[in-house]
Amino acid sequence: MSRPSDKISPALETMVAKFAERVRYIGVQHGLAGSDVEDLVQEVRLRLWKALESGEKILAAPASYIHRTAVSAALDLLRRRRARRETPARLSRPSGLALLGESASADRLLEELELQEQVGRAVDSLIPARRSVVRMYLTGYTREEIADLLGWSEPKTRNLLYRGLADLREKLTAMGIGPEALG
Amino acid sequence: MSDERLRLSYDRLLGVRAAMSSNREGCPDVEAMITLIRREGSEDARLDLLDHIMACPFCQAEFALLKTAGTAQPPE
Repeated sequence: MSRPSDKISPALETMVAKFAERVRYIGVQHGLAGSDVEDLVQEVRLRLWKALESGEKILAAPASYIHRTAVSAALDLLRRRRARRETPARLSRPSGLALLGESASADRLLEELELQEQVGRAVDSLIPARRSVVRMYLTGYTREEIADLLGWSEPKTRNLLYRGLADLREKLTAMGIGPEALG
Repeated sequence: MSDERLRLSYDRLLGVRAAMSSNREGCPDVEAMITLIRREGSEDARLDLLDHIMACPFCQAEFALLKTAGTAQPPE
């Protein structure tokens, strides 16, 4: 019979393989690049191993837990990098599992990241004519530029854009994103 | 949520997409973008093309450049 610790490694590999892209995404989102992104993946692996201790717990960890772990680890990596660059003596806050879920900035960044993904999904789900117009508008094009490019009248463009934005807000509301979201 | 907040979130989303992947297998070629700027082809086809361009950070930058170049006037 195998000991519990024997099952940790395959469980960790399974979870890391499953969430590696997500963790890299979070790293890039928080300003990490190059080898720091891979360091983040390793840091998350280490934190999962230390915090959950068994293969069963690791495999049962919800995506939101992995997400928070990755955000927290990314922020700690950035702090460590800045501290090294500025004043090594100020390296006072250790990276560690005790920080998981306790950082207000991590919560804020998590909300921001989720908001971006939800905005992306909500735009994707709009009907085609409205979707293209809304994408152009969100990208920074004016109503006049959109009308000109599509050869549409100003009223038609305005109508499609307003309806598209209304649909978008309706979909975001259905996702739990209200008017007050992140200021 | 304000239009400005939506724009900011969308802009950041595209920034992350650009940083995450440089795979451009599904991107249209420059000629296709030029036909869009010239308003050639069916409306459905142009909307499809525009939908991709406005969701792809790489195409978006190229399209903006082509559009600017296409509307630029030669010096007097």
